[in-house]
Amino acid sequence: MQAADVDTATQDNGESLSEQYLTFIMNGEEYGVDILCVQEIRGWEPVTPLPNAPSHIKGVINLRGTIVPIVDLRQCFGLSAIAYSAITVVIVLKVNGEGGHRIMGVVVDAVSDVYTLSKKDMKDPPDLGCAIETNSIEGLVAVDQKMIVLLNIDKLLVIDEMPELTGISHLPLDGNDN
Amino acid sequence: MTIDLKQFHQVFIEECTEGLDVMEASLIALNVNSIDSDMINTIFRSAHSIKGGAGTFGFSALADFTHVLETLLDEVRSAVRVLNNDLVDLLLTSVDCMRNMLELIQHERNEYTAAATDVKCTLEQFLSDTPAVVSVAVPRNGMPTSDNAPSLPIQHQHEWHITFTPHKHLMQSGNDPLRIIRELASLATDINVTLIDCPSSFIHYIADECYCAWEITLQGASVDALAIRDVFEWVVDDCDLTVIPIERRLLESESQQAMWRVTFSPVPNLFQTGNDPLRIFHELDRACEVVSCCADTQKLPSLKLIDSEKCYLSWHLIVAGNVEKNVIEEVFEWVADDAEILIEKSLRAMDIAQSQDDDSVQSAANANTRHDVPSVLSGDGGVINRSSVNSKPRAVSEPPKPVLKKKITPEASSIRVGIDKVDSLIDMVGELVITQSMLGQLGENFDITHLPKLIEGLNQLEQNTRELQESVMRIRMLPISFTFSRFPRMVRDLSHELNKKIALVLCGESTELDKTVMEKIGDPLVHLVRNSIDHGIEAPAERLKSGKKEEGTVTLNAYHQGGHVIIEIADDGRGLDRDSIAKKGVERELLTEQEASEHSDEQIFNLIFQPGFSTAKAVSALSGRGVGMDVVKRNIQALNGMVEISSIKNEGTKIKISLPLTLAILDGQLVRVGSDIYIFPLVSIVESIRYCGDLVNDIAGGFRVFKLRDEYVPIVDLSEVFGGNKVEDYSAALMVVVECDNFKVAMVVNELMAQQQVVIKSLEKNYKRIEGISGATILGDGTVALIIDAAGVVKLAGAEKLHQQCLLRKTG
Repeated sequence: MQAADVDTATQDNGESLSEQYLTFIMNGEEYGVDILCVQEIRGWEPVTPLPNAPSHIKGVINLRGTIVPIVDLRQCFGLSAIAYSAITVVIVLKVNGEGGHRIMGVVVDAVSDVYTLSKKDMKDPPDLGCAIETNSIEGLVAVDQKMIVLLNIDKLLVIDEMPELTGISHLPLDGNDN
Repeated sequence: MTIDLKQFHQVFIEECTEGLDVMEASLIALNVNSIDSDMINTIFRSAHSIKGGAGTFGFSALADFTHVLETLLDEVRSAVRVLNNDLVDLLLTSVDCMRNMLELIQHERNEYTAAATDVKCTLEQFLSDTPAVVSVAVPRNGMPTSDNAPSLPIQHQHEWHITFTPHKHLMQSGNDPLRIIRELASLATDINVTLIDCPSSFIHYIADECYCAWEITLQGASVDALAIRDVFEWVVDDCDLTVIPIERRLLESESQQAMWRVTFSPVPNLFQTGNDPLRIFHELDRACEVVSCCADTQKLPSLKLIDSEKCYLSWHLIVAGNVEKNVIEEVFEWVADDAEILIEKSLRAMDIAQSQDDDSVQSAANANTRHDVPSVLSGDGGVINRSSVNSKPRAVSEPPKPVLKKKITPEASSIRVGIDKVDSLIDMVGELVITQSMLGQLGENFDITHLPKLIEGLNQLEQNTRELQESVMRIRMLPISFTFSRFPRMVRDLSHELNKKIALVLCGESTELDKTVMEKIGDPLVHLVRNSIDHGIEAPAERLKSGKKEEGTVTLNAYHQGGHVIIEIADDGRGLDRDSIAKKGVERELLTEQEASEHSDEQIFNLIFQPGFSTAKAVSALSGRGVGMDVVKRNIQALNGMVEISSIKNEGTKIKISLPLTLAILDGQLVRVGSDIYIFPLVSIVESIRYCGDLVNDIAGGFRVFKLRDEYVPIVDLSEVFGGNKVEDYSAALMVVVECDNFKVAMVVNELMAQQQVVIKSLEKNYKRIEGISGATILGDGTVALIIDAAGVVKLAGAEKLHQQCLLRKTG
């Protein structure tokens, strides 16, 4: 039903207003990323740690001949780390940066669903003052009484700035971890 | 069926480039006094194939040019003409021209460069001379019409102005003006046809009558008036015809001295702004005399698409008049924003020759940096470009001086591979297929009795894979002569320019090197050789004074050493001046007075690799060596290479570059540090030894040094440096002694593992550079291992300071 609505909206306005988002769970909260950025979803496998890397960079893996860094999104958001198991999920994302795109893997608790969301349903992230980084949040959206935080991974997974992103954890209205 | 010839263009261009290289090399090798007929034949053959190819693909400009060159070569070949140095110079210049034209072709432009037009004229003049009296300096005229002073601009002697006014019934007599003009075009290299008269009204128009008249300008036509009149033979009774060599017209205006060439390319909406080109030209005619006006109709669309309000034409005008440039500019003032206007002083032959000269020297010196010679409008004349501020710069608006710039289109990357290499590859793939089918068969109903066979098969597979890998790597390898071949010409030109006598010795040209490495080492080598010639080798008089041979020698040598290719550039010049460099170093606070006196020569010489270390000022009178050396070093380091300098005053300088054979694979030593596996490049390892507590001393700052025979080597704990735990118990540890930046460091590892070739993968592609790590690789089990960059690790550990302390300890 929603999809149909979106379709007509697209035809009416002649521009795409809806996008599909892959959502995943972290610490009970649901986050979404643009599905076009998702290259694949893999199970956790041992990584080769990188020397002197920040703690949220777990290491690198060999993804069919390319070296791909793995980022723990929990740690990136300042949540407590949990032990990885066979069902821990790595989402391999294509991140667009200045020098073309790069492939990165993010570790999340579980993959949830795929939603088709319309831009007009999207709410801007609340302005929490300059103390909290909201740049990497594209918007908030409510689906079936749940709130989904849509992430802009191009801004989230900027290698050199990643350690500063810990402030984002304040946002999911979940103060337990901090 | 039509075949798209474009698909062969790249091959043609490559072949031409090769042909030109051959021509150049042979020309340089030619000894004028004892001419080797084989050599002449080689040059001739190359020229001939280029001409043939160019003709086939319809690059008429290049074909025509080469044709003239070929004719000249043919005369030399059949000994009708005596080859002298002037002629060799001219031929070399022609090769440069052809190269430039080839570049234009690469941009899909089939044109003459200004230089080429001129060189062609010179060639033609050579041809029209009686072979006995060949001389470049005073070109004689072969044209019957040009019976005037030989110092006149050469280019005009081949230009003709024709007015062709057919009578109305011309077409009724079965003649076709188009055919005539085509025939004319075949006489010349460049033809401009301007319609000068059209019926004013269509009411009286009769379809089979001709109302038009044409003004035709021929350029590069080496014919006399008779030949042109021949073309009009059939219509001569049905038309009014005038044939005037343009030079005459120019002569008339010669008294006024200034000639201007104006190119006026308006934007399409010129008319909409209320401007009228015709009015402008009239005004221009008032200000000075418009000698000729040609409309360029290239952008004219088909009739259906023409928008009557748009301007599709551009004009080339030749204006004579003793006026300043700004007078002409004023005329175009109102349209300056709506058009591209190029005003330049018309070129004299001398100017062109001069610019061509500059050209060739430049191109030789920067053999890798190509420059675009603007098609027709190149030269030394003052050119202004009054295109609108916001209009995009176009090719024509480039400054006419040879602009050195990288080619815009990426260099066509392809390798010519010897058929033997390909054959061996095919053989190996065949083997691989056989092994694979054998293993497949084995797997179908496998039981343990087949185990020996399986192992045998796997061994075979391993061998096949290794051989295949080696062969594929070999495909990328090219003999270094590809890089060296540019130097004879460069040395020749430079020694002319600097009035020095220099012999170039090339050794080890067959040494093979990876193509990517080769491409990147070219520029640094050019720089170093240039330096040697420019600053290293003294002027002949000075050399004789210091008891050396008059002729200086520059030696380029390449050879394999271990896993490296070594390239040496040696000269027997004045050598580096240690004191001046040290002094400058102290001035720039790169080292203290004390250090300056204590450091070894090598350390002092290494200062010239410092960025901005301009010894040009420091060592001014003696040598300017060192300019851009930091770039050289950076380029070489980017290739994982090293540079060393050794120099003896008054005996010469030797620069030694060592480069890895290939960038893709390295021989690695796997080591275990804690639970992680790292890889040392095998070439950096000096030795590996067991940790021995007796020989280790703690020194201040928590560092430890190890006494390796008679030197103290700082110890770096890899595990600690890489953010792991500091190893407390060293007793079971091993130490890998590596050499970086000319001093040794011992790195503590837990275990030495296998040695194997590893394929280098980039970490930066998806992550970023990590200090101390040069890359990553994938091990046999599919996991990732990191490759250690010894110099980076040392930096990370602060071991450089440590080394200084060690030195102090040793000396103290």
